[in-house]
Amino acid sequence: MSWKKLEQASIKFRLLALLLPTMALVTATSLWFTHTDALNSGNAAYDRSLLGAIKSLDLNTSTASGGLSVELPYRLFEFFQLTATGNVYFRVATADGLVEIGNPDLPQPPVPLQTGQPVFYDAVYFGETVRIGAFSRPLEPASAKGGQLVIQVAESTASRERFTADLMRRAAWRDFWLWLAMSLAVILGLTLALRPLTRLAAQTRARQVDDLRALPTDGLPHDLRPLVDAVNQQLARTQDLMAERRSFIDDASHQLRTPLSVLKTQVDYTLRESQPDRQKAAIQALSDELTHAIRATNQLLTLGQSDASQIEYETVDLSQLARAVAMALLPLARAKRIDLGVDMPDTALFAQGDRHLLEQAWLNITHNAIEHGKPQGTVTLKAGIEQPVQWLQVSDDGPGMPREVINRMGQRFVKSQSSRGSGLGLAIAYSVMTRHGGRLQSQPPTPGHSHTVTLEWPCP
Amino acid sequence: MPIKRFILLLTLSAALAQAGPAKNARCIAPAKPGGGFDLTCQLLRDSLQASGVTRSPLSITYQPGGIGALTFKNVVTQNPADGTTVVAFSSGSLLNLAQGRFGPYTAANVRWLYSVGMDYGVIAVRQNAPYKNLAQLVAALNEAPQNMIFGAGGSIGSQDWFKAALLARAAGISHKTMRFVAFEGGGEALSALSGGHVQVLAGDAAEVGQQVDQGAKVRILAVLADTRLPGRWSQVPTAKEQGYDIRWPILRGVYLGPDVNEGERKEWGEALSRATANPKFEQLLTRAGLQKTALTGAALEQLIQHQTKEYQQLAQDFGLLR
Repeated sequence: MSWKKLEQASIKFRLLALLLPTMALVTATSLWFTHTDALNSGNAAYDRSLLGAIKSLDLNTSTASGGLSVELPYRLFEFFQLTATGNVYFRVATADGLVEIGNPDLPQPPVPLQTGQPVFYDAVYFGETVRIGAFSRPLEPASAKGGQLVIQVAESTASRERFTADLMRRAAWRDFWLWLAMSLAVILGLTLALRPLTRLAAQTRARQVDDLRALPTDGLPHDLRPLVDAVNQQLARTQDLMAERRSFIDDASHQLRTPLSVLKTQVDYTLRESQPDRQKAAIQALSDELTHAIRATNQLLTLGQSDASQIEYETVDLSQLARAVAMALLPLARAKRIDLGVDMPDTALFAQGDRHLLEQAWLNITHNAIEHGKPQGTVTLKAGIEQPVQWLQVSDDGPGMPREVINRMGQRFVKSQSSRGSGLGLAIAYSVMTRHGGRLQSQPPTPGHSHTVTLEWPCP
Repeated sequence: MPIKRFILLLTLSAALAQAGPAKNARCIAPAKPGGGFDLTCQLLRDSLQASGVTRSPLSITYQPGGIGALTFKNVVTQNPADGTTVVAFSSGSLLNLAQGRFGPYTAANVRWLYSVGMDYGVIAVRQNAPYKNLAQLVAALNEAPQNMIFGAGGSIGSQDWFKAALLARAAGISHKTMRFVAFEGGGEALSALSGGHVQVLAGDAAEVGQQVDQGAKVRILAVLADTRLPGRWSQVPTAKEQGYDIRWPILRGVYLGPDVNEGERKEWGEALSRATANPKFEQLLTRAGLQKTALTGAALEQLIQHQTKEYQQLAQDFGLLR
């Protein structure tokens, strides 16, 4: 039963091997998106403050004195200092760069500036990575003459990098803990979910060797039911089979003991008897009894074969089979003055089935017809193939089978009270038909129709 | 006899100075051509040439970028032992260092070699302005700071801004309410002052002097020096004289890499001492509008430490430190 444990562990392992990396991947992807988002939102926020600085510089820029001038209120400077932890640079210049105030040579925007449209870009200013906002407007807004004014504000990316890094670190920690928690939950959940299986395995392992009771299905998950049901079905079949075997063996040994004790008595009698003609009569009786015992043994053997062995389909000539059966039983019929006949054409009639078993089955019901039919009556064998079935039939002019025999058709050692037989004949015929997927039918006699027993099985 | 000695010295120094100022030496002006750093380098070149220390003139290299921070970093990290290169600096560089604008570096990271000249801040108003002296200006500033706009060539945190802020402080108003307009340069600011677009100019004596020579109509109310300056400035009182302790000396000089060896340093020092001792140097200095100072070695280092400390204090006072 250790394979079961292995299998169970393997389900858990497979699920974990699939889930944990997937979760890690999902977490990493989410982290990547967080990073992009953090970068974007960080940039957006910081760019807004850059734009604010640009706008206030714009307001403070004047050309009234003839040259370019920028009023630099301390508040603006304070604002710079508050929003940026790194360095802040600004440059107010004409578009041709001939006049510039502030930090010289701030990198130019990657795209040409459109009037009134701020552009934000990353650049390197004297070895320092900076984020620059650039803005352009006509030098003199009132009259369109004159050149363009360019206002640039740059701040070192240190603060926004720190912001993003902070955000990322927090997100990474959060995602890590989340992943860990999810992993623990999955492991725990799996263990809990697989517990019924573990329990079932333990229960099954703890069973006695001969315990064939059904496995308990209480408290088992829905999706385990089919498996357990299948196992239980198999167990039930095995149990039935074993019960059948046991009762068969019981009955068979009983069945064999009876003729053996009769034989013993007869042999003892014969030994004591000194008169030769009486002795001879006793030996004759002994021989009859042996015939009876041999037949019973053969029948048990046939039944065992029919129950256990694999059916071997072959082509069987039913006409020939009918003649063989008739020939085999002719002595018995003659002794009973019964007219045993075959009502079939001489031509071959090929059917599919296990020849030996079919012959035994037919022999048995014919034997029954001879035994239980009307004394000095008629017994007729018939067979036919009518797609999709093929059949064998015996009819006699007797009273038909007693009701209790018909009701218990197929059970072993069931026979009418008047019968001297073993009670196996009908059971064998029944079993053979069952093995062929067919059935045994007994038609009671009606006025104008005789009693018939039909073996009918499907053409393969 | 003196000529003989001079020649002897010349040959001696030429023999000694294989890597010093005599051969392949250059002066880096960490800005575009035409600024104060350029002026310093030119002054060096011309005086060295005039005094005969160099046979071929000192070459000048321009390295604009980050108010001199890039050059500073380069000297400290890339060529700390390069004895052939001097870099021009001014008090503006020290001010930036003090405010941490040069990154992690401090004034102690390089060798301050020589101060070539000294400039001083000035406070000027329009010639027909109602303010005759600093006291009147301060009173007006105190009364209506909104009407009093400072014009200058730098932005917040620059030397000009500090001068204006110091004056505002003297007037009892906050540097936060002070109005400050930045122009492209001192010249632009001066013409804005003449045009009445700004009321006060915080500038440098050298530049304002030049503009006045070219006919700018301004009245200089105070020089931000300890004592009255000689020559043309002798008529202009200092702020201190007028009761306001505002001084803004501007050092102009050169520094060397931190690992330049003792011999080369000495050689540079001697060469510069000789160049500045030359009578021609005074002419050059006056033409540049600078005052004479010949500081080197420990005296210079001390002055620089002092200024840096002062600037740090100021930057802190005015909320410019991060």
